[in-house]
Amino acid sequence: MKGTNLGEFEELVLLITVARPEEAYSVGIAKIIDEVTNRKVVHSVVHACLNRLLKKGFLSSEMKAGSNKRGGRRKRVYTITPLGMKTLEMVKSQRDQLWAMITPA
Amino acid sequence: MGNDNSGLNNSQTAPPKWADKFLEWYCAPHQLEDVQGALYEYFYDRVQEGKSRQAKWFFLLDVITHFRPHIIKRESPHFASNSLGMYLKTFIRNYRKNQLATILNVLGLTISITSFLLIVIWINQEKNFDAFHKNAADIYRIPNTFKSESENFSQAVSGPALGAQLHKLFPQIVNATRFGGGSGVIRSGDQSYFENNIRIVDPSFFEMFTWEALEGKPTEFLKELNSIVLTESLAKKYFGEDSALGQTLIVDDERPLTVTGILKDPPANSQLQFEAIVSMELAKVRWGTQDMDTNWGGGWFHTYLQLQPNTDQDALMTEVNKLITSKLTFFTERNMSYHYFLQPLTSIHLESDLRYDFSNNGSARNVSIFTAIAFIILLLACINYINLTTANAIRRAKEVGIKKVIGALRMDLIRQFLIESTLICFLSALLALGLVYYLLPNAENVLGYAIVFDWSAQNLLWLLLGTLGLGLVAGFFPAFSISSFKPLSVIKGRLRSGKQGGLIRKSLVVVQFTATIALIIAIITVNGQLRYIQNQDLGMQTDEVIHVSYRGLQSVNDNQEVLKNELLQNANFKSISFYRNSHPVGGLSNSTVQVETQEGTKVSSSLYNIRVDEAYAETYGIELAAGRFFSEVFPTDSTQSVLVNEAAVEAFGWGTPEEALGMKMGSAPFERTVIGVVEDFNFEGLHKEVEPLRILPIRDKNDYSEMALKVDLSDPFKTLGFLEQSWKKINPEVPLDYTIMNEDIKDQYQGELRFRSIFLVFSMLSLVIACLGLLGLATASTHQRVKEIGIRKVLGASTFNLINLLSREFLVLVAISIVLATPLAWYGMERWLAAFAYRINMSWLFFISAGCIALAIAFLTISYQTVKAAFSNPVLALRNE
Repeated sequence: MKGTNLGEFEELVLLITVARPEEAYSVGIAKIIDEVTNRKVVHSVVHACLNRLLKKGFLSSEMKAGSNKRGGRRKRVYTITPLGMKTLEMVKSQRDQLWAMITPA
Repeated sequence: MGNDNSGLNNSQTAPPKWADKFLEWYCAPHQLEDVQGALYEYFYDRVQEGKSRQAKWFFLLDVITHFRPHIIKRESPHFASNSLGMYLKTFIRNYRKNQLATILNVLGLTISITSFLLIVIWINQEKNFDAFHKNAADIYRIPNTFKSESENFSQAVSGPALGAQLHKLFPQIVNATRFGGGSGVIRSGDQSYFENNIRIVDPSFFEMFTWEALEGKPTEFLKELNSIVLTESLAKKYFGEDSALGQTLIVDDERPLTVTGILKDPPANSQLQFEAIVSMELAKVRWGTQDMDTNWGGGWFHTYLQLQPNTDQDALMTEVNKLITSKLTFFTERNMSYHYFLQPLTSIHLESDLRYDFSNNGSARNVSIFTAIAFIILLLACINYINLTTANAIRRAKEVGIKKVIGALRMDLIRQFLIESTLICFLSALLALGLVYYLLPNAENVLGYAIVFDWSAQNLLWLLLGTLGLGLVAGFFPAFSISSFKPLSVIKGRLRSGKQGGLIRKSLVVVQFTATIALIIAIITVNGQLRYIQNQDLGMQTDEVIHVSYRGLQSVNDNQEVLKNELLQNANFKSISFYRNSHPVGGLSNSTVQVETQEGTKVSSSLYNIRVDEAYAETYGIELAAGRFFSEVFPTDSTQSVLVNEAAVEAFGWGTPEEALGMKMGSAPFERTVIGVVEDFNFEGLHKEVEPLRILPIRDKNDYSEMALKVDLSDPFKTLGFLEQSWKKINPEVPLDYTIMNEDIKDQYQGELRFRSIFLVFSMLSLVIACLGLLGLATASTHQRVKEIGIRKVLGASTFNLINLLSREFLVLVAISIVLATPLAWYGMERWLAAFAYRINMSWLFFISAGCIALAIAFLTISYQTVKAAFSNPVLALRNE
């Protein structure tokens, strides 16, 4: 397995799966990124990222029924694993530590 | 979204077909549904926003941007039959198809696991002897090494004052008890028996050691002088199901004792064995000894000390020895000394082999021998499994090939074969457990003492882990070798007998037979040595001597002459001798004495004692080397004469037996003159050389305690019947307790005889396992060569040629094993024989006969297969291609 570090984009994707579990599939996540960061992301990039997180063991997935718009096709819905959760918390605490070191101007 | 449906069905608003097809083509099947669905979702979002035209272009763009490795890449082949259920199914099918190999495998493993378990349970018991006492870690026995000018020896017993006083003198010693042997006639109502396992102890015996009391209070067991504590089984013997507590037993027809407690029988793994216990105070009264608590010399009792934890033992023993030396000026002045040392309680059973040690002591040597055998047997079974499995691999090559073709990875196959070997091992372990459960209760008949297995969860967990380990070890090589088959060559039929496994298989057979042949040589040697010992001339007559012990009971001594006259009237009774504790089969007492040297000076020495009457030499058939035996003709014999054996003559440097006559022994006024020298006779068993001995006459008839009768045993029933009849008539109150001397002598070699039978059993088992393996290999090998044999037959090979051809490869292996086993067995058995003072030498005959036996057994084992193959009809072999 590749390293277990989290890229900035990966962190974002991971956070969204936790924050918006009902939208935690590739298209949903891409839309939320759009909303929150105002960044236009290509679906294939999100999809690749999700694949990577699956491989790292931060996410697990399951096929679930999708809306009619998908032509009757199911969608792959992602949920965070305990490992993924732990990694997220670690990243946050590292950030917090660094923020705490900054003396307010 | 009511208008969605109309939109979906409208081809105007459907995604471009060819782009969609392209996506379906490149996208990995397991991703397609999700990706395609996502792109549709985007498409219809845009359509909804009213941008149908753009949506088509965007769809195309999306299809193109998704043309990326992670979406294209196919899932790694996933082998469909990887479930445990599937493994089980192929396992059962395969083993049904190849029943012989399965049976041989399971049988071999079951036998070996059973043997292994039995041995391990036994070893575990031997190693944990006496560990059940709560204070075991702090209890020590205190034996000594005695030194005199002419000899020194170590004995397990100590002077009686040690157990009485040491714990009062040294704060490091918490408690002490003496443990002495005793015997006597115990009577209850009209039942009376000789009891040999009455033990004499101090009251602290019940505090230091952990015994399970069934009735009575341990602290009050020996409070009263006339108390006796019984074990459960002895209480049953005298009182049946009635409660024994408070009942009265008469000891030696004079002293009534009250039963103050009942203990559970001491466990099999206890060095301290007893049936009844009386107090040291009672022994003082009964023996009339005054100095029991103050005499620091001699060897009377096993003495146990309980030390404070973390005591500096060296410092303590220096002090103890200093004290004892200061008390024993009598010995020190004569250049004799006792040096005391400590033995941890739990090490005594396996490591201690002193004079007057416990007869149930084990031997560390036997423990290591059987540890080795346990592992050899396990190894043999593993090798069997490996050989049988790889030899039959060709039958499974097609399965492996097909599985690989439909996508099985090598790991899948390795896992499959490891699971199979583990399953076989578990099956065998289960059978073995059943066998052990059935066999353990019978172990007492073979071993002479019970083995107990603790069926605890922890032990069973160990078994589980062990079995798993065994399965992995046995399955490791076959799994890797079989899974490496190349599917193409398998299916083309290019794979023949599995040449790559051949050499390994052959080496393994050699290992198996080397171990087996070494064990056969060992059996032959052990047998030879034991036969030698049993037929060794002991220097005395043993086959027609009856030994009667009556423990010096007064009533019997009063009737000596009557009994003697009565018996000697019968022509079957040739000679009768009375004596005191001098039956020459193990366990003579010894004492220190001043001995004159040829130069006329005196040195101190220690010898074994025999105290006898005039008929002793004749009764036991002991020959004189010089001088004469005691005789009634010389009344001064009783106070002034002594005899010694040849070993004593040599130890004291007296020259020839003739020159020894007239030498002085003992110090005035008890000085005695040597009037005769007896030829050495073996009174200690053949582990030891004959040691110096003196023979003293007994003055007072009341000092006799036993008798020996030289009889004609050609009609044993008549002779023994007459003895019993006469005894009953003259001594109606005393039970007759007799043994035939040959049996006593056999008893001395109980340990060796037991060793032989256990050794024999396990060696035979290993031979059986090795043969099972050989049978399996021969089957596989002839099976593979069916066509070759057919062609050879057609071309005119004779049956003999074929048997020769098929047997040769195996017999060569056995021959190599013989060469390897010879030095191994020679080395091992030389070490075993070294423990005997009288021993045979390893002869070439042993090795040759072991080799012949192995070759014969191997040939017979494979002959069924080879002969069958040689006689088979070649048409059957060649018809089908």
